[in-house]
Amino acid sequence: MQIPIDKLKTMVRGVARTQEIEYSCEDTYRLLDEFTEAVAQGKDVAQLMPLVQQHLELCPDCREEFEALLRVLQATRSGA
Amino acid sequence: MKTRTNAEWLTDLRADAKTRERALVDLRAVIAAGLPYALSNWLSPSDPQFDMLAEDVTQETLLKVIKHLDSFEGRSQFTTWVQRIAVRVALTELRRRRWKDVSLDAMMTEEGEEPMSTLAPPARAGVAQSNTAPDPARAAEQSEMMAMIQRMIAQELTEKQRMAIVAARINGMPIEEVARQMGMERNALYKLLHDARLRLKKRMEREGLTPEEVLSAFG
Repeated sequence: MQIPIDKLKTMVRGVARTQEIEYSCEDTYRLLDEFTEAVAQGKDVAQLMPLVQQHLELCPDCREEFEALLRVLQATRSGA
Repeated sequence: MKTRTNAEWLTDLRADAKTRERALVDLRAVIAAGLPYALSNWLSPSDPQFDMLAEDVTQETLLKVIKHLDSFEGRSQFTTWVQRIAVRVALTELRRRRWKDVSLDAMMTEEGEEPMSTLAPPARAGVAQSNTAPDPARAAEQSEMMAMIQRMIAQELTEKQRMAIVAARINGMPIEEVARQMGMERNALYKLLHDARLRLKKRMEREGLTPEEVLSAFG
């Protein structure tokens, strides 16, 4: 398997961050409204919702959805 | 537009037709206000595709909101919950459009996959991507490290896991697209990748190889 160096480094960082128990994409989606509001409000989500945080670090697709929702909340002040 | 509390949204959306219709009109406006920001990495509002996509996404989102109204747990603002659905609907559609003509099988064939039981010789290790030529000792170190990682991948992971990694992690295919082509759900694919990471983590621990060592070898 040909692995570009930048992708290899991302994969290795992912391996380092791996836990036995991780949230699935659906677990994360179910909590994403609460999580994203908390981020928009400046709360410490690493402490409040660590499993969601961890999943978002390891799943680019869920992270993309989180970032989109965050942009929406920050622009429309829906989370205020 | 009328501002509603969570309770008022739920009441209005379950009320008589006229009240419900007014609430749906307001919810449309909420979704419409958010979509340009949700889609900003993909599509600008001035793009010809935007309006039709926005309409489709809004329609589907409203249907899902009504269908899943009872599952709203009140842990966030109702409008946030709705926007989350809209984001998922929109991005799913955009990913589907971008990747629908990309074949997983073709991707694997392009890879020129050798049977995984053979080791790729250092010359094929795909190391030479840096702009500056590393000194020979460093180049040798990187080659050896890359070969080691490839050997671990070949020995520890299943065929499906390697396929998923090539598609999702090396070629950047969205996991729901990879999942669809592999005939499984997104969650199942995430678990496949999770298991792959766990296997590699344990193998690295057994070999006494730390992630830091690997990362520092490649600068």
